[in-house]
Amino acid sequence: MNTHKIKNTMKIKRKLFAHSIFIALAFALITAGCIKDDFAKPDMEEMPVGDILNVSELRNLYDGQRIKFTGDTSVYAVVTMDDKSGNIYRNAFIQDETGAINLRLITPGGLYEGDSIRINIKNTILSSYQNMLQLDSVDVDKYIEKLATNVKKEPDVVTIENITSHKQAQLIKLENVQFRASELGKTFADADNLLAENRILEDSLGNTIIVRTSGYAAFADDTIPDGRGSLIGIVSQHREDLQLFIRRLDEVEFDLERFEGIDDPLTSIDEDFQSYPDHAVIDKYGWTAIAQEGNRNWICRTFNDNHYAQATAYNSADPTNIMWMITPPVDINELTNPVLKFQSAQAFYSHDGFEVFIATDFDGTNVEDANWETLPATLAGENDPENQWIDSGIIDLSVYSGTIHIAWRYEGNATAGETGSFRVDNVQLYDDVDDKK
Amino acid sequence: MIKKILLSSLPLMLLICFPLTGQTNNNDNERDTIIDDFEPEADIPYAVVSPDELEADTESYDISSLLQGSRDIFVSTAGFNFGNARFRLRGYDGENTIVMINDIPVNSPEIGRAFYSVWGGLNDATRMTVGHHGIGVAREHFGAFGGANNIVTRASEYGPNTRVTYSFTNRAYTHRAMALHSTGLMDNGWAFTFSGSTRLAEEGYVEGTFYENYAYFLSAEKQLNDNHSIGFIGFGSPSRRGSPGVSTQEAYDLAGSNYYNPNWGYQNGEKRNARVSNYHQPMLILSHYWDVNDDTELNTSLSYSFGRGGRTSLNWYDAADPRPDYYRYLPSYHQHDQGLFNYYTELWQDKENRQLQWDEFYNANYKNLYTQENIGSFENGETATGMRSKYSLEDRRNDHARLGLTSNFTSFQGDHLVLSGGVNLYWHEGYHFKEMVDLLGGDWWVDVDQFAERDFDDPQMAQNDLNNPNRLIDEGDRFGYDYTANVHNYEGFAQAEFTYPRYDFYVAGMLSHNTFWRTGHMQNGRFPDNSYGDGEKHSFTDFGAKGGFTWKITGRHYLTTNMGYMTRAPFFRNAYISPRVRDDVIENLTSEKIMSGDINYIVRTPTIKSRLTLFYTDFSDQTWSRSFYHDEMRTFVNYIMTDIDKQHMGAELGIDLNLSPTLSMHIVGGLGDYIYTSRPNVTIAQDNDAEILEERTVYFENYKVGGITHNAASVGFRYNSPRYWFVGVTGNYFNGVYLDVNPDRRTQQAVDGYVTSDPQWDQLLGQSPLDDSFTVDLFAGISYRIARGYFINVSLSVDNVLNNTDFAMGGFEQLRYDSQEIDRYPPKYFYLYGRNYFLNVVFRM
Repeated sequence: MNTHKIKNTMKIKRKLFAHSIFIALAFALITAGCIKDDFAKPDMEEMPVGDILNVSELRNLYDGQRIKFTGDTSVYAVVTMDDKSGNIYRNAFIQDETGAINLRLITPGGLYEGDSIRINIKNTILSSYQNMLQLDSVDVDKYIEKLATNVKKEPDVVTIENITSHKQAQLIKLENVQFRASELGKTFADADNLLAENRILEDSLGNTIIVRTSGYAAFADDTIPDGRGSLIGIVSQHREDLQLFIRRLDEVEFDLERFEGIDDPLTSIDEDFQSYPDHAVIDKYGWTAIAQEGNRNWICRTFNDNHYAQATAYNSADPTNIMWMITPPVDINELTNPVLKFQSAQAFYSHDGFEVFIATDFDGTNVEDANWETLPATLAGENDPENQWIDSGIIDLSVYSGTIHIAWRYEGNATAGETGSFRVDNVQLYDDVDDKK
Repeated sequence: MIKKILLSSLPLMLLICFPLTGQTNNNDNERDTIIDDFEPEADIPYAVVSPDELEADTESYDISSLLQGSRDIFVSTAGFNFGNARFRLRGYDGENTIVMINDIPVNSPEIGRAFYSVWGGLNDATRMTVGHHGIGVAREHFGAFGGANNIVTRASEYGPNTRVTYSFTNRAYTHRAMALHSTGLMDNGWAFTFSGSTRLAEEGYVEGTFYENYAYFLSAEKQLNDNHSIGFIGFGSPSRRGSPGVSTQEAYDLAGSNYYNPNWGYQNGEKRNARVSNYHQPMLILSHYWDVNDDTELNTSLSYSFGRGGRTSLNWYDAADPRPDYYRYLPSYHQHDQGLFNYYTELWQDKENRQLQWDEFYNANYKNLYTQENIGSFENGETATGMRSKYSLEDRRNDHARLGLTSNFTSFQGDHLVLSGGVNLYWHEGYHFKEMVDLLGGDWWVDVDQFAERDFDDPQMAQNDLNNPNRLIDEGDRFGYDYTANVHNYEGFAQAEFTYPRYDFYVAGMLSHNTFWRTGHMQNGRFPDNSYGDGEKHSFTDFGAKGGFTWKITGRHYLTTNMGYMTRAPFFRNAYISPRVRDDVIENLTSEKIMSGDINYIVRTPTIKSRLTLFYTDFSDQTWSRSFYHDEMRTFVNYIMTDIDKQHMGAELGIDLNLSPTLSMHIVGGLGDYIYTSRPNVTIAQDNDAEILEERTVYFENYKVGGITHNAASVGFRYNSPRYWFVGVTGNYFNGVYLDVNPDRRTQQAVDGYVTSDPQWDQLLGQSPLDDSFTVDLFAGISYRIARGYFINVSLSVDNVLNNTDFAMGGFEQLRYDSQEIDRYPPKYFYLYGRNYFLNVVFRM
């Protein structure tokens, strides 16, 4: 190989190499630009306003048929409860000056208590689920605009008696309430099995309402407080039952002493029925009135300012009437020598449909399940004058122990003409210590 | 005669479209193992990095790219033809093969596997490997029972060489360009090798994926004198890749493609991928090569490896699950409601609907006015009002820094003995944290755990960092979790090889000490006393021994056998229950035990090269841990399985036949029986709570190890023309592809309430293989000489010529399941690419 040839080869070699490198680099530069890693932000899509409704107007649109909204309509409201605590799931409650409503969301979360929102109800459905009105299929991401945060909505202070279907979805506050004694020691819900549970709340008049808590709630595993005080919640409804959802534990301020609840066992009874208005059912202060058959029940009647309890099948539309009037529970173990006395009277005598019983196993509700024993009381009967109060005599209860209930049972049969009235008054159960001596 | 028949039938075979493959030194095809594109992804919506997730972060199981260079026909075929189909040698996981660069092991100290992406694209520079498959002799390291491979990168080992390569393909990337220049050892005692490469795709084989990779390499060496030489090696391969996804068959069918990718969506009309991996982990090596005397050499290297890794992921807070193939968005979830079923079926018909809705994520964030109180402190924190992101894109980082010191010697003691040995020490720190990448139009994110927020009444418990409560996270901020995995390892080995005319044998022993612990950089609200600062240190001392014997029956027939036993410290990633949030390791943490043996019959004649191997390996005391979202508990749970024993048994056959000087044929078959042999214990804990929810026994005995192909066979022909071209075809058959099984379905609790005649019984417990598959590959190439010493090589291979797009090469059962309705959470599958090609043009000089 001569020098010339070698030089020539070297030249070709260098050229070729240079070209290859050039091609590779050019290619790298050209293609490198093709790979996207920076993306422009999409434009914001404005949410149309359309017609404006307040919450009350929205609620009033419901006429028993589900309504699917197809046009742009805006509702302005404030979120009163979110699903952050887990007590509700894929739900929220909103309220304005005119009313409140339950939102059911297509996905959990995204709305927070205090959010002042505009919701475009397009594509949502107004419907009723088990008597609870709801705005269903709400897409928070697409159809809700948040205008402000941390807007405080003060709860309406109400009593249990005030809570009706008209209060659905509203934020309310109850004062001077407590959980029933039979609930004490329990947790709000079954957190282990993630099951919702109901706890019964009562006021001093014996009115009750359910506090319902989800097993997923952050406070599901907390023991319910045993004091008395105020509670803030949202009113909900399930079929006929009205119920409350708590937002968080610090809104249950039960730091006062309990009052004697309706199922707190008593150590004495002294009931003259004077506090009941005429025709009121005898179901206050822990007393229970049960219409086991027919619609009639024990009610209060008056005569010359004396109030008393009466049962009658007179003019009843029912073929048979069985009704029970039951005292609050009494912890008889607390008494050394427990005795019972009361007065009874009859009117329009037709039959012996009147008895008095005691049970040690009555659960407060299921009268059929308890073992009732007849008490040896003197009762007004056929031979007693009408309207004459007859003393029962002092009935010794010392053979019983535990928590007892006293019950008066009336049975009438209008078709058979057994319609006589019986009355009870001045029920007293007490510790007859003197007698013991 | 045979030759004639085969020759005449070759065109016919080509006509009927047989596939082919071939393996020679000038075949420049590179396989991207498909596996690295279809990673099994644990069913994790977000917030949790499980080992599975980590695997998904980098290329895995791509052992094949090394194996392709092997001269063993079984090993090279397994790498080249079977690797794509999730066939792994002897069914081993990656930690059973040690990979070294210039004698330095590069297997991840935390996971055990080597990640080839670290030097991805540097094919030319990393072409020279030495090593063995199975149990054998490596003079650089004791190795593991799957093998040991050393990539030789010492500058003086490269011959003078310049090559420029351009490749065009439709696989994970579209273009590849590589250049390499080696000076060889020059008269002045210096040797240099430079290399650079790039691999790019605007969109790869799978829709919505992209690929961007640039790699660099430098090796320099200076010979100081006859005995001493010093060298420097530095390389790195920064890459960004948009990932494909794994989905259920229902989603594939609805989308009309088994390559449906739920990871991308349109943003302003442009395709954007939510799962972008981004790696750059350079390695620097300083070496001293010392020829102590004519028979002994001692090489010592100091290495430093460092850099970033990570993959982005969508996160969402109080918002709908953004993943388009979330099970509630599939028609099957609504099968009992015809109206909804039709609605979702309809929705899936529209391509846009079955992808991510980036524009909607932004719009949700634009509107989410929020006031965050108690920022920085619960007593006197600040309050901020702004648009809180509901959706965001985060990078789940796994960076690291590792210092290593390796020193090995080899000494020839006369004609019959070679002694070798060495030490390998490293100090590793793995940095695991999340970084906010994109708030998607929002102002900030809040660093709290939304599951804990709901599960616990105490707002402190939801804090990811009690030292910084309710912190507002901006783009670029670290959040969520932040801990360091510390692993220190010291190991040494010694080996003696004896060579005699009729017999060879060797023995080797290894001793190692491994210490690891966790350092938390955030005080987690759920685990305030157990998350911040240095955790307890865990140390393990392990050993290994192996030996082998070769009987040279004749010069052409050999019988060899190898045996080994070793113990191995648990890997960091399997040892901890939930390292992101707390410092709790699995109870009774213990070293894994591995026993392995093989028998080989080898034939080498001028016309046939063949090997038949029977192998048996026993793994015991393995550990497995995953986190997943539990639908019923509405929270994440940790699922930890211990005392896993496995048995891998099988046969390997490789026959390389020279039918004539120009025609060769190969027959390769691998049979594997990989089963579980114990009843592991499982503990289930809520991620937010240290309390153990359940302890169970998994009835796992005789279940097949899933996620891999057990059996594969290949037959190929190759014609080498004397005129410098070649053409070939290969047919491949796969069988015994099993899903990764959900252990929880194999418990007494799962079948509780069912009797054996209930359909649920078999549905819950069953395990049947996926369909067998057949693929055909073709390849051809030609070499031109431009001038003396200058060549152009062109080669083309077409894989899966028959376009078999129904080859599910793997998948996994979802961890969540409904025992009454197994189909509610169906398995997820990944499929082999359909017809694909790879064109390669190389200029050599």
